[in-house]
Amino acid sequence: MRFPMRIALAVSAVLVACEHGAPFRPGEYGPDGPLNPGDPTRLTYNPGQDLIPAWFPDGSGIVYTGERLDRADRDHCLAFLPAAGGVISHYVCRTTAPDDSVNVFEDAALARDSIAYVRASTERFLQGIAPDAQDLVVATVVAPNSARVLQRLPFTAPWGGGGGTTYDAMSHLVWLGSGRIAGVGERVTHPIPCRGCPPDTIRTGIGVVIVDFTAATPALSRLAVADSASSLAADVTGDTLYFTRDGDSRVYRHVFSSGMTDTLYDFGFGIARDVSVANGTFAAVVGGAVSYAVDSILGGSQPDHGGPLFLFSPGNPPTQLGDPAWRFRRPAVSPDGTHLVVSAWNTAATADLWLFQLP
Amino acid sequence: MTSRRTLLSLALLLPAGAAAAQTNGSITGHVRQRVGNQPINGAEVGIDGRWVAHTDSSGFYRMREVRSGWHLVLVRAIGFETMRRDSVLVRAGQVTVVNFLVDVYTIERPIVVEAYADSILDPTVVASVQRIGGEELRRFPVTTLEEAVSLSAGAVGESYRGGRLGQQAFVLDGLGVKNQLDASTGPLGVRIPPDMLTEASLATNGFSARYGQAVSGLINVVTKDGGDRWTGRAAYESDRLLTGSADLGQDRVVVSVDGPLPRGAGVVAVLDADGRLDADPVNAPLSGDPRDPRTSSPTLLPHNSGERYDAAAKLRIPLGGVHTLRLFALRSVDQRLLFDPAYKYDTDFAPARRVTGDLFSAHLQRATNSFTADLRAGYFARAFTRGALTQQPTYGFGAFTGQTFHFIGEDIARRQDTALARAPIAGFTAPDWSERTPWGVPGFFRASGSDGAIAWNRFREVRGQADFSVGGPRADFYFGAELAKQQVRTFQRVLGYLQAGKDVPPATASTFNPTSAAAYAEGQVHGSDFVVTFGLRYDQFDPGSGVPGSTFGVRRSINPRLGFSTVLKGATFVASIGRFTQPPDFQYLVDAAFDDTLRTGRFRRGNPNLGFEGATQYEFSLRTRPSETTTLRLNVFNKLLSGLVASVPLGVDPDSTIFGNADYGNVKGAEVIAERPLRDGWGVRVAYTLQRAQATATNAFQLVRRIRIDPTGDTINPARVEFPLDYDRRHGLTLIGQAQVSDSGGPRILGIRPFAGLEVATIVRVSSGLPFTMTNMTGDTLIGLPNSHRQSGLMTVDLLLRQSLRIVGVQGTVYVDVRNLLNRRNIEWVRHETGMPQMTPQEIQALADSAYRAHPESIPYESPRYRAYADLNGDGLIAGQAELIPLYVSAARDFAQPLFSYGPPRLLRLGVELLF
Repeated sequence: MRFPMRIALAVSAVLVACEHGAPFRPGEYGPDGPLNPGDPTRLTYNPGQDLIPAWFPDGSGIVYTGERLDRADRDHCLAFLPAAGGVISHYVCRTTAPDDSVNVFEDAALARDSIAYVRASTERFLQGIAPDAQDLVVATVVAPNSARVLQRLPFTAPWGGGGGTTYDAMSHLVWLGSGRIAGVGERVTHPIPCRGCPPDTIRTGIGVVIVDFTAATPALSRLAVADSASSLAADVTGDTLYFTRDGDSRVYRHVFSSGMTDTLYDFGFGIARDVSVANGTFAAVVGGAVSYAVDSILGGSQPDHGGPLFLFSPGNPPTQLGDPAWRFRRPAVSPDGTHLVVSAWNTAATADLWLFQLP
Repeated sequence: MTSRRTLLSLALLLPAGAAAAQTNGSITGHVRQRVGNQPINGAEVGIDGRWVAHTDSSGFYRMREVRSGWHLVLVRAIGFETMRRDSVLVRAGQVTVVNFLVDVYTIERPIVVEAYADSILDPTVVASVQRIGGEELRRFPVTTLEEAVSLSAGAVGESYRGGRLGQQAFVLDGLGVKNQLDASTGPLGVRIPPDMLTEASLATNGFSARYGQAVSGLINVVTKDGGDRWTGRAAYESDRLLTGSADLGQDRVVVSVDGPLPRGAGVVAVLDADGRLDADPVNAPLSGDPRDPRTSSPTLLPHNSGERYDAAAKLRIPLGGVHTLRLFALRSVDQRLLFDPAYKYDTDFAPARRVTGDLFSAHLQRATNSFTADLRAGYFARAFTRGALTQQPTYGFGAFTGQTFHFIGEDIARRQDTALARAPIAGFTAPDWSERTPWGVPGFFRASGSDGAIAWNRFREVRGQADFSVGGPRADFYFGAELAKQQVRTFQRVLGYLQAGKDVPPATASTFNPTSAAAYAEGQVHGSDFVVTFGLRYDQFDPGSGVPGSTFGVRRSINPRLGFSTVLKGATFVASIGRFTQPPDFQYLVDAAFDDTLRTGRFRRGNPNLGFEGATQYEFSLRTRPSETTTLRLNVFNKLLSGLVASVPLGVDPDSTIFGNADYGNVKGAEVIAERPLRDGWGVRVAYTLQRAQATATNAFQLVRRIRIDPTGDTINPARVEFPLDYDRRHGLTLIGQAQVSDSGGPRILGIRPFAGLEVATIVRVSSGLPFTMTNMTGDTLIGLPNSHRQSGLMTVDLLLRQSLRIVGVQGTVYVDVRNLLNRRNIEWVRHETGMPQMTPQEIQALADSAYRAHPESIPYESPRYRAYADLNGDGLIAGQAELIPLYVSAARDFAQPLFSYGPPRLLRLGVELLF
């Protein structure tokens, strides 16, 4: 028996040393990098809306909300794009839902391995004015659809006068460290601008809401000094918040550790909003197609269709970025402060993402 | 002569069938003195050390119920030396003749012994049996038992004499084994490793009344008993050493041992493992588009691998005296990843399949020469799962994963939890259009989720069987009964990522416990030159109370069988007639859920009141020996099929059908089998079949279509419509050639004879095409009758070269096994609307246009769907018909590639075998 074993082993060794061929696999068919590199660089060409970009914490990529015209329900999905542009690596949508609902995933904010966002859904064929369901959720970056619901929207908080304060929506999410996020709580109104016109949707910030979800039941609180906040940004530690207010040209700063709140910057003109900060670089949208009015019953209302984009730093005059004829919204400065990505309307009716190299 | 004519007439007039698909044969002969040829009366004749018979006054003896295989035959008589004849081959259902010519006081003179088996001229062999021995399986270019049986005349794969898949019965060592749940659409579940075989045979005419549950053929398998010395075989075959298109990722390992145990017991154990990276390779032409990844790597289809493990063991335990106990265990596992063109670029979501089979049997035999009793008990279980995997397996060695496949929703399916299954099943995600194709466009190719289907079923059977045989020198009588308690569990859910509801059919499940029973009696009377075999079989089955809906209860069937054979001028003529019935596949008794690509889930209604499918077959057979070394067999048969299960319309809803025993058929044919066994270095076997298999349908749709107006203006309603059955292969020719160079043969080169001992075996198959149904381009109107058009013919040439080697006392062989040597591109399926494998350009364009209309939206640069080559104006947007339609056309052409319309390509394996 020893010889057969030896022979068998020898033959087996020879055969095993040879590997089988492998079946074919699909190649990489998409482009690598942007279509026309330059400054600024156009990152998206989607005929639908590309909105609310945010950076990965390490600056390696961008996540934004893209309108999926290739889906019958035109869902708005989170799209993950390389930092320098190129091909979307993946979308996050509610693909398990049937096509009879419109799903919107937006306002993504990324921490190291977590993502917070707001998701909403509306029945497609019987669309109400407001979403049928809306949640503030948090999930891991690898499985964004397996999300933990932190807060259903709208909700009424006990603070404020009378019966409390009702928040219809949230936006401008920022991380304040592990297990804590903050966002701008908004009131949503749907005025009908003219007889027979479709209702418009106007989201107006009414304050900063902080969600602490380190415990099993998330705890809500508000930043009392940030009433009427219209936009929000945080430094990398989450200790300092920057915010703007409705109808106000100033950018405010609040430091949690000291409890101090002050004015960081005053543009002196227009309404400042969509503040962004990273590595000491500040950006905001100021003026443009925005207005602020106060209704005696409904309170303040700030319809916003974008405006000029500015870089600023305390003590220095602001620097306008990009074509003055364009309208911008929701700029996001890269973590290292060298780039800025923003939704922009040039001549098209829908926004695309543009990438600016910062000085 | 008068009596012969009378019996012949009787045979033609009476209903019936005939003997012998079984595990045993018999040995007969004469013991005579050499001088004067005087018979020796009262000599004892024994087998394998056991004395079982005496010669009569004519010196004739007969040993009945001798197990198939090699035996030692002994003769002793007072005044004579004990004589022995080694290596007497007995085959199931055949008579082996061993004559002894002895001298008185033979110490100084040689004993003359003749031993031969002649199933050709033996009139006691009534069945039309085509057999293949275990050793031949090794010498032929075949791998499995099914492949070996398909070499028989009248076989089209696993369809025999025009029968549908599953209309055959499988008998293992005398015990019936059948997948009664879904034999027409699924595999048996267990596979006998060829190394376990003594022999396998296919009986296609009036086989023995002891076997039922078959209307097309009977596959009879006899496994080895443990031998009286330890032997073994280890073999490994692969195509690893080959490169390019010759490497199809095949690996096969076989290890078998066989030997004695203490107290006269014996054991046989075999492990047969087969892995293939492409388990269903195709010889399809390339698409011609360089962007198709298969163009640069045409050999293996992804997600199409398979692994099979078959482990069997058998223990023979003598219980003393005439009693023997045999225990047999077999486990088969077959796991397949299934290539689905829709998931060509996202294979993680393509379906997979797992089939397991377990068979345990015990056989207690009491064997004397005049009375044999066989008590058998068997447990057979088969489980089938198909769906999407929870996790893709990782390959270990070749296609072997060593892992058990797990399926999404499998737990719910096993629990048959239809309530829970109304909700979306955890793990399923909705499929989306793939973004990873070279064409980018959202159409045809799927990703992100599987089709959401999970199908599971399990069939279990406990069978008890008692067979008795009483016989003497001139007559035999067989009788027995069997009882099978069966258990059926099924579950199906489709579109599992959606809530069951309006457009999503609910999960279906069934649980019922049928009972089958049978009894038979069969006798065989031997005349001087004729044999009459007559039998009667009673079958019944009861679906049980668990079947949804009301049932008629027990269904019964009486099946007479009669055979008559006689010798006419050097030829043996056999006439047989038999009726055979089998219960329908149990899957047709219960509801099923279906889906299609349009998400319009459908629901098929089962019929709990289906009855037996039946066949009555007449056959005339002539067997002769044109020369000492050649045989010729001619079979002419006519088989009437009745009660065939068919899907018939239910109500006015065109999508609603129910199964019924609605169709009839007729199979007529002739088979010619000429054979020259391997002798003097060569042998050949040619089998030709001419056959016509017609269905007679009462399908209301067909009848309405066939209404005609006669010249007087009256309406003529046809009583029936006839068209070919699916397996109506008119002409089939199988040629098996063998050659062997002697150990001292072949040219001497450099002092050695490299070809000495070389064995060559080739199988050539030529057959005409199967029928198919032609439709118009939309597929909603038949052109002509069903199956009124023919595919093109098929031809394959297989080859096995085997060279024995002896290295330092170790016996072994190396071999090359080549299938489809000529690499012929055989077309096995055609499209019903074109009669060709591929779509027409117009159909491709229509597909593309349809997909474009569903998704005319432009593709932006950042989309994973963006393909720079299609952006003709370079504006970062693939938009409009001019840019999008070419992509859709390419995608449609890719998707519609008729891969599985083609048979396998050339398969080549190198093997090493060690015998010890």
